[in-house]
Amino acid sequence: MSDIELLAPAGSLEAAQLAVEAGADAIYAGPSSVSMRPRRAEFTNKELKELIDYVHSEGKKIYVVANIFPKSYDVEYFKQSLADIYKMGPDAFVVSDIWALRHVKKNFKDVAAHVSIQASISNYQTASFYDKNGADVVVISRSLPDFTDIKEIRQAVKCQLEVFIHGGICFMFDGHCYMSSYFKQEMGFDKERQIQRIFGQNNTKGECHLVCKRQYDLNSYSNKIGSGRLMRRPDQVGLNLIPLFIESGVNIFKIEGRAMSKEYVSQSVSLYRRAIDEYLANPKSFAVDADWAEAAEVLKWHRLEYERKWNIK
Amino acid sequence: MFASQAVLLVFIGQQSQMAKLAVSIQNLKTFKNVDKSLFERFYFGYPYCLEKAGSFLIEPDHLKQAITEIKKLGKEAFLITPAVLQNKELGLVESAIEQAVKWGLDGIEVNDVAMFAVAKKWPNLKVLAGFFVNVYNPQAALEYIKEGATTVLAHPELMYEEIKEIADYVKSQISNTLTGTVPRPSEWGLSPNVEIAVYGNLPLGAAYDCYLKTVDSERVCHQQCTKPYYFKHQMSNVKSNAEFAMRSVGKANLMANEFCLLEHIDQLKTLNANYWRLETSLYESVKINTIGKAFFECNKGANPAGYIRNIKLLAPNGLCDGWFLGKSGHSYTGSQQKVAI
Repeated sequence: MSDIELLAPAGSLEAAQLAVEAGADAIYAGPSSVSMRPRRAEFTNKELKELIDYVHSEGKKIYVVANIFPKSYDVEYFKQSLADIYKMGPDAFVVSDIWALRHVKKNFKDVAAHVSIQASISNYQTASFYDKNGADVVVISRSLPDFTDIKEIRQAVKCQLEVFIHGGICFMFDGHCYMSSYFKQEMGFDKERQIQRIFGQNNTKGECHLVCKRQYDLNSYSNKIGSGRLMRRPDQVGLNLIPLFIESGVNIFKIEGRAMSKEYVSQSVSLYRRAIDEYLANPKSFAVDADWAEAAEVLKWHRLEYERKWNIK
Repeated sequence: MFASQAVLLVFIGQQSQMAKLAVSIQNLKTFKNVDKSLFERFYFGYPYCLEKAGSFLIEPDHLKQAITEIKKLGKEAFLITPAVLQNKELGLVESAIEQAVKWGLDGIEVNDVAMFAVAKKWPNLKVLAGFFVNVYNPQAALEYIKEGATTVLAHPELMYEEIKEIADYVKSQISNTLTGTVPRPSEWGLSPNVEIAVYGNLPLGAAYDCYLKTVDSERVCHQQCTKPYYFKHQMSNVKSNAEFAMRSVGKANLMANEFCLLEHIDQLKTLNANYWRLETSLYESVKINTIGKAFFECNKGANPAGYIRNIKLLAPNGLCDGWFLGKSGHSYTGSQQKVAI
């Protein structure tokens, strides 16, 4: 049996069901107020319990994403939220904050601790920092330029390595972006938590205003250099990279998209299931042919080019 | 806990002192003309890019000159280490620290947790848990102190009340009694230090690659980042039709408006921070001196109104109070709104 795992997003129970049917080995999902995604893609505790029970009934794993950087007034809520979810029997908590990692390790010893993409792990020393702090899995930054870097990280840590293999990508390093709250945030009443708090913060709350996806002009002095969606990056499609990732020591392939439609989740999981299985069955002859119908369908969802128009050069 | 320890904790937490000014300076040319009398701690370098020409991190002779001069003045010299390091960059940064320690370097600013492990090689090296390690709550601050941080920068994306919780908590700790804490010399004091950003074009994010290189089809560094580039977006769905702007320095976006808490200096003082940080790595010495003088004098009691006009004249895109008041970061209310203490 292979130890390579395909990890699928779930923004709803239906999406999780389709992902499991399409061949996901594990599902990740976020509870209310503690994960870095819009509320519509998060689960209430009741929904989460139903999701966990379903995923386990199918013999799959479920990872609960608690990857905000909690503020002072969030800490007690965060602790209570994790304590409540722990009773539901998740297989792992995915965290970003250093305190949150140590909290999970100290209080939930039979649940794995994953360090989120929000930590932007880009070198072996950083991976080692989290490994020594008890991480069972570290998610490697989407920025790494070559596979030698991943191999060096592999050699430095005992924990498993996870990569985002497919999906949208931010302009900034994950967990290192503060543009959203600079753009807009405001005080409001949180009905769910019954408290007054600030809304519209990217780094700590997942309430991103998608500042990097907007239309901009790039100016220097009075010259307009460019215009368009200048910071929007092409989406990541790592289908052909699966062999290199596996040979570099990656254990888990994550598909991005908790806020995407369930049809997207189903199609992308199906595609990567096929690719991983074909590679593992025949590593030497693995190739993604142009006639892979699933690939064509999945790629329709994505932007594969920069959308930039330069007025110079 | 023994009663005497509890009393000591309360004492440490409540003692107030005047904050010292800390300043970030990118290169030797600027350093030479900065008024050193205004500042007690100097951060040398540039956190966004290792290719930045003239930056202290890649110019050891310049760094040596700066550290030597600062040590003669009896002040503190820190080296800024970059955010989100790659494997191949670790050795360069570590060897820069190794050399600088020999010249008298007091500490480093950590912007990637990788550097906590590196810093432990020099037990007398102070460590700032900097902007990009994301200190958003008191408990995270404590964990970084256990990893070796001697000063913690409360993340400026927080508002006054949240910063105060971190500051009070950090200052109530006794470093050498914390399990896992790196032992520190007694002359550094009992409790860790707190630093608060008070001025500058603060970072809004560190980017995967140099944006300004992507303008060039050959992706060669031509040092375009020395020119002021701005992303400008026409805001909609807001009452004012203001233009939203961010400055690009290639590998990072920064605030276009200059973050300034001078008009909130009374509130700043109640935070009892050890250091007020001027994030001025993009500025020339004349501007650094003007801003430094304003905070220096107002810290001693001068009226900010007399200084804010000069500062506004030097800020081409105006000022902002960031997140201090719990508002959108780019807005500026200045003296029109005060934080309730």
